[in-house]
Amino acid sequence: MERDDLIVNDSYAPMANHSEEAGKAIRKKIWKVTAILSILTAVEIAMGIFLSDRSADLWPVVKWSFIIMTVVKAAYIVLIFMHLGDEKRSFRFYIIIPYLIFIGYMIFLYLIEGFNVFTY
Amino acid sequence: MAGHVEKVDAATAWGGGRSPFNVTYGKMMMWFFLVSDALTFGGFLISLGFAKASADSWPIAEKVFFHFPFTHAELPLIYVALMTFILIVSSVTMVLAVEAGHRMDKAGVQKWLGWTIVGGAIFLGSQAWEWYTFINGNEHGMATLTWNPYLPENPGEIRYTNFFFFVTGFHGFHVFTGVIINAVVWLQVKKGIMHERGHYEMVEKVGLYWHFVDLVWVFVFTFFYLV
Amino acid sequence: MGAHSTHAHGHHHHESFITKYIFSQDHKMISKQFLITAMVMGVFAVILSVLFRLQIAWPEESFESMKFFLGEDYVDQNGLLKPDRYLALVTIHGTIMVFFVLTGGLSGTFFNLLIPLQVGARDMASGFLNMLSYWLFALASAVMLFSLWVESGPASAGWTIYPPLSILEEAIPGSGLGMTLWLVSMTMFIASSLLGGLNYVVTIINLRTVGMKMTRMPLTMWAFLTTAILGVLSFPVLVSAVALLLMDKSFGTSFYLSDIFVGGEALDASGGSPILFQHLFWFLGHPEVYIVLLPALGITSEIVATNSRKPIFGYRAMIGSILAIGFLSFIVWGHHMFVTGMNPFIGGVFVFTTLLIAIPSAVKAFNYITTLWKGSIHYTPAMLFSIGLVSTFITGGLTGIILADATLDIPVHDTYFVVAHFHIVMGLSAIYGMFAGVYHWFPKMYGRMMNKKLGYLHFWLTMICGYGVFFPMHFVGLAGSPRRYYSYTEFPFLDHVQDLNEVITFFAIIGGLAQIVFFYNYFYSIWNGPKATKNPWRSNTLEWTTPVNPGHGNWDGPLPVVHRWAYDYSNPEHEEDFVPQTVPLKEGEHGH
Repeated sequence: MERDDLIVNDSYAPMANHSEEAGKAIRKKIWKVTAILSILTAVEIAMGIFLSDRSADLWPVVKWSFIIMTVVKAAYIVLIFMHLGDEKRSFRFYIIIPYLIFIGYMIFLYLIEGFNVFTY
Repeated sequence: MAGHVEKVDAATAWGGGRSPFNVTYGKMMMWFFLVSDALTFGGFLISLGFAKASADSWPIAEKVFFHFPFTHAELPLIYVALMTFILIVSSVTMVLAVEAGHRMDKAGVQKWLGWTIVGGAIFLGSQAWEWYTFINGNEHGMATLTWNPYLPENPGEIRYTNFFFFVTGFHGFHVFTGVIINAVVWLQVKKGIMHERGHYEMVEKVGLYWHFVDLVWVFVFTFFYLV
Repeated sequence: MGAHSTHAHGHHHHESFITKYIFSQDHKMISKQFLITAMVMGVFAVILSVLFRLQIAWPEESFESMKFFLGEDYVDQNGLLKPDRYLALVTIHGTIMVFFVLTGGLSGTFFNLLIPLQVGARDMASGFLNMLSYWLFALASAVMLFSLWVESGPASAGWTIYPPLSILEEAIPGSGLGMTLWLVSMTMFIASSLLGGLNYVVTIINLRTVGMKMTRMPLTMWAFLTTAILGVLSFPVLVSAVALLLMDKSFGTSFYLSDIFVGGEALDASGGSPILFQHLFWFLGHPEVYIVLLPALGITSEIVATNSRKPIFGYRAMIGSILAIGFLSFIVWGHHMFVTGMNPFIGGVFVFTTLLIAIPSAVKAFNYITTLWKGSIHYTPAMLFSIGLVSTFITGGLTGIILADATLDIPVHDTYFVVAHFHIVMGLSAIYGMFAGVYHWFPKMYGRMMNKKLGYLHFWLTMICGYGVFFPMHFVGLAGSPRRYYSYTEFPFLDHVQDLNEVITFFAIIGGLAQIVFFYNYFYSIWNGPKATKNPWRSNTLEWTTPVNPGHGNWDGPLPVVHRWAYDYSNPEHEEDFVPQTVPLKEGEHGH
């Protein structure tokens, strides 16, 4: 059976492949993102070592900056390394938006429940 | 497309035979699979959040993870920082392999994919050592599924060790499968199968999986070691 | 892999028995395999339900049939069903019906059959993964059935497997090997449904033929797409729940366990909370309800429009309500947990979101009725079952509004009122949708027609018995009978509903036997039914443009080209009362 309904072999290459010059720019971007990820991780570690006093007034700020940095790192990985940033806008939304909504909703409810559950 | 001589009415732009997202079905499947898997990990990490929220007290990571191989100094988080760095670097080599694939550079793909496999293997080894020191515990005993020596005032709160073993183990299993899949693809690249095909989409697909593993680790790192 | 393999197929290569009927990659054959496996599972589930209904109606009587169907292990020396085995029957009935018949069976059959045919594709995107999906499902089914006869009994903690009961072997013997097999079976089932779901989604998105815009797809395709996405997003959270449960059960962790005493002895477990499991489980569990229901609603949309000879009323509103139901199904799970002592604020959130579901559901119900309104209705068996679905969807939906409200839910929580509600709205509705689909698309599956008269008999028996079982059950529930009790005769305050219990059991037996009519009709017609024509229902959708017995690849020539939506029935600009999607627009005609 011939599959004339699928995207066939030859049409993938022009969709994705690029030239040497384009490759150079992409590699530059990759190294830049690598630097950003490494720096963020280093900052996280430094904060984890020196600002880890749970009872300090600063702790909520430290905690939230951990979470924000994590999300920033995740965004770089998904958008640059996984090339989601290069996909069509609509595809990007279909992948990310439902996930964020449902996970956000779950986090919200589970944490309220978690604080609530042994307090009877 | 063969056989489509008939014209479509002007009201539509849809010509069929292609993807509305410019994504082949295989890659789209991989993406949806990753979303699915991400929800599994999300479920685990949110359960961890639930456990932390409902616990009276929880061990402090810097007091647990301060070991480093070949030294007895207290170096909190340095070892796990190293592990994180190894995984990020292996992710970088993977994205370089994908990029080389887009230029049909077989040697480049082979080289970078090879380094990715090495990075994954080192990560797994590091994790084994980390588990070993974790299990060894401290003066309050060994860390098991039913004893948590890292919370001396409340060792009954064993969910900490439970979640640590389970979530890092589950992630480690993903890394392990990733290494295996990468190795298979590496062999295929070496044989020239991808090159004959005219594209390295397979490398891109396993690349997505590998980045996903790295992505999960970013969150595991934060929620087990930092917060 | 990937698109590469597409050139590997020759044009007319010979297929052996094994590649054609067993390890087939043709979506039509896989669909038949799913249907027949689901039928086998359905027969088991119905027999189990009749057996435990016998127990509820006449708890002091001993029945030979128990021993005959279930074996010696299930009865005590007086010939009575053992209490723990009663729970096992309830559990396995629920599991098989929810997962294997109404999820695997309904989706597996009609998604596989209709998606490539209705969007105009040669096959699923990946025939291999599709085949794998079926065989994992078959294996899961086999393991689940096998677990019925292990020595310590099958899983007995209810289909929701709430811990701690499902974890502690000390509490009920079924939580030993039986529960492990249940978990193994469900793991394979989840893998199967994930592989299937990925395939369905990408096929609908990527493989539509020329002219098949998203907004021209039949509503079946919209319902199936939404369902497949629900499956891909919700089953992974069940994986989390089940994985942690397995750890608790087999490796001594305490994710869900806390300070438990069995027979006066404390277990090692401490710290965890079973509420966590319920949250994780119902994050799957509620979308699961719509995974079961939406395909049936999609099938109904198609059949109602075709057999009323009218365009479906409010096509875009229907799409909108399908998507809205799909979205809302993820954020309402807490209404299963109102009595867990949840934070009242969260309770309020869940009441609000749950009541919102009534809006898109009502849109759908009214659109079906307005489609029927003044139509020239053809009462085929498929149409009758579709109308039956609309009826049960409304009846069950009304009690849903009661159960959505925390204040009203708490008094009837875990009573037979709830059982009646979900059996009508998701059990009967979905099974009617499945029957409707089989009657409607049988000519496409086998190239023959099913017998109409037997179809009518089957419908009226099923309809009467369906309501006969579940309508009185509301009253049993309101009287205060809790679910999953071995016997209700011990409680004087329930004496006055014991007669009703006997009535329910009577209808359950008749309803179960009525399905023989269907099976006879089905298997007789495969070989002996009258030969079908190419388009027996005079329908618009693409599957009826294929040959009567389409080969692998569906269309002999090039793929069809679509010029209009699927609901051009009784269009005054055309002579025929139906206009297939492949007919080009006339000069000056406005298409959809």
